[in-house]
Amino acid sequence: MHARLEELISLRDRQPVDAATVSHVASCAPCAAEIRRLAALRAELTQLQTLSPPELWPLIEARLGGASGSVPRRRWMQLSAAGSIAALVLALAASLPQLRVADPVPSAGASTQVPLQTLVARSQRLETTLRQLPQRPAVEVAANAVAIDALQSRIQRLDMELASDAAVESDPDRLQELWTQRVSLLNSLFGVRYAEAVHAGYRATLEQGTL
Amino acid sequence: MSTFLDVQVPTEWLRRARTGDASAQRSIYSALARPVYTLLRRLVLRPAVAEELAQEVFLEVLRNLGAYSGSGSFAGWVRSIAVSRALMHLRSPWHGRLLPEDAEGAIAGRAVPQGDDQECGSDLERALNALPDLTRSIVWLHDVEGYTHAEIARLYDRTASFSKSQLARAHAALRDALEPRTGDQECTLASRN
Repeated sequence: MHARLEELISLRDRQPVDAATVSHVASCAPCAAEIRRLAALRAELTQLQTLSPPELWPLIEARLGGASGSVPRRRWMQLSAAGSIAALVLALAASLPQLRVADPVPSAGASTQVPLQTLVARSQRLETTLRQLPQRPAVEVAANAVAIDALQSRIQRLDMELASDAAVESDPDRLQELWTQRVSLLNSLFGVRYAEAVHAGYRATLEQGTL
Repeated sequence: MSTFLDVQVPTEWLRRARTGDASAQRSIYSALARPVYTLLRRLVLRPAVAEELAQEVFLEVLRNLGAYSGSGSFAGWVRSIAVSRALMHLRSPWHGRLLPEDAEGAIAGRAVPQGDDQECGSDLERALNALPDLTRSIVWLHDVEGYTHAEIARLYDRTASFSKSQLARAHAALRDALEPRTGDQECTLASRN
């Protein structure tokens, strides 16, 4: 009986395996050959060519929000960032009714059931919109921070259940319930983050003295 | 061996980058862009996703330089952030390919994403890319990045045995994909010779 692949990988990696396996492999040419093949494959993996990214630095620098450079440039960047925040918040405000009305999730107990694919698509759209919100402010309002943390924790727990619980996959009702909850939580998270962004943009505008 | 191990970032760059020095920040980016992007591409495959995640990784790194304690390798710290970002992406429910059940049944069946630029990759790259996300990420983290089974278990909130069994599955699938090498591929790299 040859050693199992898992044991051969352990031997390749000089990890402990039971004595019987060591003894077998010492006298088994096919198993020894397999260990050599596994080692060669690992070497090939490590030698795969590295991949060059496109030039991402300008995007990263812009998203860093002008945290570098000379003082006048930094000031200009702050003004520009504040303007961008205001514009983004306005754009999001314009899209908000559409987001909320386009394919509403029925409240608990509602008789009509939104198709699962619609819930998943809506979830994706909400996450995309959340990513488009400005970075969270450096100085947070405690109530916002607590609410956001709580919502994110609940979403993470749902994701864990959706991603790792095999029973859920075979239970359409539970799947529907979890995705409905997820959309609802994302809606709430968006609401809090949106309010926070509006507040931060308003504060930035005040600090510029342009309001 | 992980390409991150080759990257040395001078402490002077870190000191200057913490003060907001753009040239130091850019130097850090330039030193680590390639290993970060390569790791992300190996884990998430799609170039557009890897580019987005790479931006997020560098934003997190540069905004949180103060959190780097200096006790370990800086490149290793950046790598841990990149791995975390990639796994967060792979865990998103609609991505949905991290299920162990998927690894059970679909090892040989998944195509490289449309629009990928790896048409001329090696046989090994094609075989690697055909693995389910979970299996591929574990074989990459273990065999290339040098993560231990215990470290992988923590990342996936599983056991070391789970990591070992997934690694064995990955190698079985790679063996199956690579052994019937017929030589009829157009773009066979020197690595196969």
